Amino acid sequence: MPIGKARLRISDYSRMRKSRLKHKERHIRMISLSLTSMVDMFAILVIYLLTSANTVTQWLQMSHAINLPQGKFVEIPVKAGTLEVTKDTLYANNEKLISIKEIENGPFLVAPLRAWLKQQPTTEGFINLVGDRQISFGAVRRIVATCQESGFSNVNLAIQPN
Amino acid sequence: MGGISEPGGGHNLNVELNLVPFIDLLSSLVLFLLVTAVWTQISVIPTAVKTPGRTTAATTPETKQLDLRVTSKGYELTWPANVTLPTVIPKRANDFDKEALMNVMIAAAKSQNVAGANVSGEETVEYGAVIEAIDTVKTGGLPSVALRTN
Repeated sequence: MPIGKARLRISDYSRMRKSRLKHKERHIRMISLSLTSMVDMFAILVIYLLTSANTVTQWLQMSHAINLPQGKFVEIPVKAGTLEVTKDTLYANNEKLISIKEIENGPFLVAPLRAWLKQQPTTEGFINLVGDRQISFGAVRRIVATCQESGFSNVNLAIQPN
Repeated sequence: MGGISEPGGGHNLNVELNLVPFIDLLSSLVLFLLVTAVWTQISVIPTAVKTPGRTTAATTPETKQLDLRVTSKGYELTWPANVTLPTVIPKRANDFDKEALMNVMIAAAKSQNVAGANVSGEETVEYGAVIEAIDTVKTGGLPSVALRTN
């Protein structure tokens, strides 16, 4: 058997090396983050948030646990004094005035509320009433009547739009 | 990353846009907008107040006014003289029949003999029920609503 035929030539080694390298290359994967789609997503989110953001500042806020009545009629509240009526207390601009039981059992006009209203600017007779849905109408009508007596005849009743 | 390359020729124009600061800016803008967004909206029902013997802000003539009273049994309605619509809408399954009230209000608005409404309620009735009645009257086509305190 001639020895020359069994031996590999230098060119054969080179071919084998090349094929091994190609095989290795196939296993190397390039990992790159697709930032373009991420930027698209962010841009859409920003546009959505900008368009849905309120241009009018929501200044009428609830500082106490109040379950607002729901309604379909939507109007932006005017900037005026705010009365908050929880299940047990009446607050005026976060200042505790009187309990609801005292209002229900007391005279028709609520004296502490009247005193507070006298210190307020009339702002064209507007006042905002943020009341809990479960309080009795008897208490509310006394509060509203006191407001009218003190020159606040336009009462904005706060609701949660549904 | 985004880039522009000119095809062919030896002079390739390869401009790489650096998106990282752009993403930083957008993400901080998103965070700012999310934090400052108002999620719970409060709206109001503007109402005039009517107390007997006092001047009121309502301008609707009394002869064209509907008187709606919310009681523990349902809605009681007092119409102007020339209107023939239901005077009582009883509760249905222990709940106020807002649907029936809405239908009556739509009919009243169409008749053009009713220009506004005065809403009142019993002492013990929940405030929420009165508000719902006012809301139904307004959305039904009678925008001029006054709250009667007597």
